[in-house]
Amino acid sequence: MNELRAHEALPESDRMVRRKKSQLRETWRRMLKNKASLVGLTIIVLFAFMAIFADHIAPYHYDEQKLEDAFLKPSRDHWLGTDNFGRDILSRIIYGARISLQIGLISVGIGVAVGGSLGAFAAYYGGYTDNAIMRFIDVLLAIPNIVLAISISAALGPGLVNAMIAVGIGTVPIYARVVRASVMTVKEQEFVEAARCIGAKTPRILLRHILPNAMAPIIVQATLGVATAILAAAGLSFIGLGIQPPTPEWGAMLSAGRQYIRDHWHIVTFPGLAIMLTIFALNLLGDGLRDALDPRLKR
Amino acid sequence: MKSAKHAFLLLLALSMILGNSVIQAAAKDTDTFVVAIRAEPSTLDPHNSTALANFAVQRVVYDNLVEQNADGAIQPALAERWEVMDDLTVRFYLRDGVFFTNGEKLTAEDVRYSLERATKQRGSASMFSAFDGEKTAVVDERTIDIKMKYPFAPIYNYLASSRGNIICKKAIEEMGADKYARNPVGTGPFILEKWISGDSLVLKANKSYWGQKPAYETLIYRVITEHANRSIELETGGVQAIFDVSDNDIPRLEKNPKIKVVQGPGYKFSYITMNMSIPPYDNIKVREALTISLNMPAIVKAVYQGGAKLADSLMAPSVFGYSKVGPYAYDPERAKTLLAEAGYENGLKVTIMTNEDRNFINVAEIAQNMWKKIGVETDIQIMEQATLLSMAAEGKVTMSITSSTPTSGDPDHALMPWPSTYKSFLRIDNPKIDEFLTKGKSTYDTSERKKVYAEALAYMWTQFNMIPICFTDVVYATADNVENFECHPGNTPNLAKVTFTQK
Repeated sequence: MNELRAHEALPESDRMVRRKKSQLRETWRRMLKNKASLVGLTIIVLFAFMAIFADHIAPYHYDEQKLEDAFLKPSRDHWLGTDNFGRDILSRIIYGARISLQIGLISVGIGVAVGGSLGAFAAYYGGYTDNAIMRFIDVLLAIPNIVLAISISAALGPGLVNAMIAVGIGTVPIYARVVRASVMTVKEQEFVEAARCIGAKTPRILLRHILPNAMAPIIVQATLGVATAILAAAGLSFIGLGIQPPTPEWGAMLSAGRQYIRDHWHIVTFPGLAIMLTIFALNLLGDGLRDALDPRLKR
Repeated sequence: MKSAKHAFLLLLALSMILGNSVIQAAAKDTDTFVVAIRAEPSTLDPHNSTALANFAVQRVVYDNLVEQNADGAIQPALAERWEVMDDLTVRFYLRDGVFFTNGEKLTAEDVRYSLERATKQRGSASMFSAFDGEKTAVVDERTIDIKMKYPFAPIYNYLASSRGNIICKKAIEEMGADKYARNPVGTGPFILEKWISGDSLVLKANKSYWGQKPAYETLIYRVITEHANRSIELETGGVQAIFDVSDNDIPRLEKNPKIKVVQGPGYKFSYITMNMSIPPYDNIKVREALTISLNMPAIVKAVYQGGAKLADSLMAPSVFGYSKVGPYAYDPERAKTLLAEAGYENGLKVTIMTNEDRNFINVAEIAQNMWKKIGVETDIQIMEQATLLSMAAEGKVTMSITSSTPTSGDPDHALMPWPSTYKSFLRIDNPKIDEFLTKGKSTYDTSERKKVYAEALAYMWTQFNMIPICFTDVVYATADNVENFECHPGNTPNLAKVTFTQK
């Protein structure tokens, strides 16, 4: 009885923080139980660490060319060997982590922001708005998203920023649908009705009441989306539409090393492994998050 | 339903195995010669054709009035002999008893029609602009007077080039140009039999060829775009010869006892362009600084790995009139001084736009690194060739990397980007260069002409209008039983001359 009174005495915002905290803790606890997703998380943290401290941990600068040292096999001086310009491959992969993670996060950010708001509006307003937005999304969905990204990238021209925009827009339809679906399930619930009754404005209802309760699927989709985005950006760079030299993007490194594949295996193998590992780790993490956030699996 | 699907898959697998073994078998017998080229021809209409892949096939389908031998000297082909009537007229006497592959007899009217068409069609008009198609006249069935608009020394080289192919007037008028482009009718040693889009072109030997008949029956051009795949295909016996061997494949192929590498000087000259109509490239000090700050020998070695030679002139040694005028000395310190004198002591930013050619991108990346050391920051933009060319036509390309392959082997053709009338990458407007080039093309006397070009090259070299990179060798590779594979500098060998040794 006492406890209940104390709880009621708390201001509303504090109560929300506490509830959020406990929800976060619960999710975290369930994540820890899942070994695979922990492995994923560790790898991602490692890559993020590489990306942030690239300047300190990379043994060489990414554009340090020594033409006379081209095509060196992996050795003590160059752990992963050197490429066709005598640049240290390990250093380029470390710097490349920065580019790849940046592309992954920002393009997913663009996708979630644009797709998410379209989906949320469509679900909340329903009727004509819903119909108009979702039919447009259907049109986008009809185009495979890598093809969409290629055409946008071709139109905007090559470059880091354009690649992020292209990949981001390519994923808009996915987020629009995910957000729309989860908003639809939440918007008819009593607490939303209650908020509307006390006269809350639409943006407040959407941002404070509906979205936080529809977050779980978005988080999962976004985690998996980072993987797709990195892969898409690597694909764009591979065909020459993404990052421009000398930026060490993994896909671009693959593309440049391709012609030497039969004689110098290390030039393409390591950037390829870097891409594979990152995608693998993000997928493990995404799956783990989905399980952890799914209320049906709560024990 | 399921069994139908299985049957289909089985059929597919079978047909793949069979299809493959047919090609394998074909590659082994000496009646069939299979070569791999790097791109599918876009057309076989010689007057709308601008790509090397097209020329390679045109070479065996058509003949010209005259042709070049291995040393580049002009010799008779469809014309038995010729005489110069005056400065503007050359009279050609045609060989008797030459028939097109559709049975039509070759007449002077076909020649007149071909040349007039060459002066009008999109792909050949600029090259044939010196020819006067209207005034060129048939004298009798086997004699024709070819007229020029002004004295024009390269006439024979141009007539011997792929744009000078003689087509059958009756056939093209009956078929229309579009159909003709895929069903060419020439007088050459081979007849196009089948064109499988995206895969191959199959040609049969012309039984009634007027010249030396090919030693084998079937010639197949397979389209294999990736150079690594071309090499693998040759190593595994799928083809007997490949064009455009990649530089990094040369050492491995040379070590293979079953393969011969055929390498020789080519016409191809690669260079970095600077747009003279855009600052700061209009300043010769900036141009010189950009040029001498590149350690070009190291770049050529790193990028081309023995497949090319450092450029020491502005056209390849295999072109008539070549003289050695370089190379430029590498001097980054002087480059810095020059930049400071030009007012860029605090650095300069340049943009280099190039197509997706791997070698060009590699040159750009190394140049970017070397320019950084003299305070020049470089933005590299890689784009599609079509985009790049249309931007160049609008004069928007600041710097680029490109190459030219003057297939005629004539200096007038090789120096095409230099006159002020040529609006593309360089946009040079130098009356003195114009004067040299006009004089060069109108001088018939060969030793006199050589002298003009020697002087011209020496002067042009001091203008720093472009940064020469290299002269690329032509590199082919063949199976060890292939003989007489002509090492043609323009990348269009006459495959009809190929013979096989019996093993």
